[in-house]
Amino acid sequence: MLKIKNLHAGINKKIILKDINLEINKGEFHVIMGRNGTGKSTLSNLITGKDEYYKEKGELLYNNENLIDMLPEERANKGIFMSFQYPVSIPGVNTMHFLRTAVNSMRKSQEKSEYDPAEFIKIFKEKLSVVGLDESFAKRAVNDGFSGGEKKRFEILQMLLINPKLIILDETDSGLDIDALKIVSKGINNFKNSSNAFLLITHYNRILEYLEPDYVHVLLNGKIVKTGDKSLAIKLEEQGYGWLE
Amino acid sequence: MVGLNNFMKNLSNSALKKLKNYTPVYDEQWKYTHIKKFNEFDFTYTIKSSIIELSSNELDYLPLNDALENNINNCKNILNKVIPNDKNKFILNNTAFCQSGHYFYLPKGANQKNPVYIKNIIAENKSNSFFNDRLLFHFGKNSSATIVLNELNNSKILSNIVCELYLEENANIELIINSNKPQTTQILNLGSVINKNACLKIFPIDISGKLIKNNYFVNLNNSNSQFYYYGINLLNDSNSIDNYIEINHNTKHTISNLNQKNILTDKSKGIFYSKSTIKNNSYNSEAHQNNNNLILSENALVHSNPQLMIYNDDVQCSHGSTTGKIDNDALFYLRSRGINLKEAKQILLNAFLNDIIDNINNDDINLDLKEKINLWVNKHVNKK
Repeated sequence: MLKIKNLHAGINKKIILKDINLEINKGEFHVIMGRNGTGKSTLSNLITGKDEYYKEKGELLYNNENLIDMLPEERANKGIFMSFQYPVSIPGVNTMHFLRTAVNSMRKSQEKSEYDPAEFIKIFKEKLSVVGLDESFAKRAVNDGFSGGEKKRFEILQMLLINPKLIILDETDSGLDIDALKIVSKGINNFKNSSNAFLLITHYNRILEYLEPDYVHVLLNGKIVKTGDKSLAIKLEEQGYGWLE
Repeated sequence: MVGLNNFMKNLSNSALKKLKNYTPVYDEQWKYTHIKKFNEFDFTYTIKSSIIELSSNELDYLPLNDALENNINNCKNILNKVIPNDKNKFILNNTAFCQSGHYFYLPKGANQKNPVYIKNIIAENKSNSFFNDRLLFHFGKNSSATIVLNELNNSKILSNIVCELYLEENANIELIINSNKPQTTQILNLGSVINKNACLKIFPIDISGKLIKNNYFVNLNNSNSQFYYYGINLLNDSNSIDNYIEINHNTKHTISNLNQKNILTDKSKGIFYSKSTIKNNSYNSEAHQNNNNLILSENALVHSNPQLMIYNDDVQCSHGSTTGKIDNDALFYLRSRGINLKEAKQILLNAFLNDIIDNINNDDINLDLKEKINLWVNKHVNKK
């Protein structure tokens, strides 16, 4: 699904990722761990198409298509989704209206009929309960005045509604209390199936108590220096990153 | 000056005299739109007034001349007293050369459930002469209404308008000025006197305009008189709209709240200059001012100057101003959810303006304005 070969990339003329190789296939769950500033967010922003990020060399392919040439909305409509580390608040934009527009954009690109407000509200309510949010959410503005936990749950709600194929979870566990972490993990586990794939970026293995990753990669100074399974995350928690340098 | 009644003639003569000895005032009103910009024009044009179309007869309407002839509702006591004539020479020009004008009266106790729509039709003007137009709105005691003044015109117009709004006790009025005049050069001097417990909410929505100078002079004269201003300017090409707002809190327990949001593209210029004065006896008053601007091009320009003059300690006041671009993070957030760039911009620009529009209680007016805004956004922001 996602193929990254010899990727060198950065932001504002500064190279951050140096020779990344990574392949994510359908049904897989990958985790990237690493210290602050090692390029974890650069990688997710590059995959989703944020403006300032650029590719110096190497390949970034999604279903064998070159991602770099695509607009962010094209990537989204092809099934790439990122749960943001810091979801931006957008006062004045109603959550329900935003979600319906997003879901309908996706459906339009797949040549499916768009949902009218009444149809959408049913689907919306159904998914709301999965992430433990109440119906008053429909009247609020996007991320405006949301608590840290509400923001992350709202990201997961978007994932459930948009139904993407490649899901990047950028520090989705940060700022969550234990109860919220359980709800978010449950949402992820229920959504995971053999036709989608996950890439979780995290600092801690706390969320991994609730999720079953297939691969754990360690990103250090812009390179993947080690790949293993869940036990690697446990070792990192105990010993830190020093031993990998 | 044929056809004028004596009262108008006297007003006109006295204004002419004042004009002869007039020393130009270069005060804050003209700080950002220089008064010289209007020097090339002639203001002595004496053509008959514009044409009014009214959607409802529950708002009484008479040509101003006729109303004055019979001194309907004592209108002689109000005309020309709501707005201070010496504020600028254009008000004097208007008083001196306006041939008729319009008088609107909402009777005492009238409670208009449905909005009243007024169309003010001004004919195209090919010469270099300004057309002098005069509107007097008189709202009786305990009356309430929502009024939409439609000024939509695509041809070349030069107009010098004086609009006076007089609110008697307990009157509660919403006035939406729905203006789309891309080729218009205009000077509007709008004055209002708001009496005890009366409330005026005014929504000047200016979508495009060649060179527009709006001056607002509001006097809050009695306890609990309230003035709310919710303005929107959408500017493109070389449009220039300058709003100068002067509020006087003349007594205790008075409230004013100004909110202006502007979106500018191309080489346009937008100005917000407000001055709220709380006099020394006006304790327990509130004055708030807020101006937010979104600039969407390299060459658009904004001057923002919300000023408070406070001469009493026991008051609540605030003022603020922001000018910036569309939030790129918000734009990316929407696009990362599959929403295309055009639609994402539209969503964000609408959101920016919504907290102005949403203060209008009537859903039809609300929707209509949102549609007009979207048309402008599609035409001028998403044109590339």
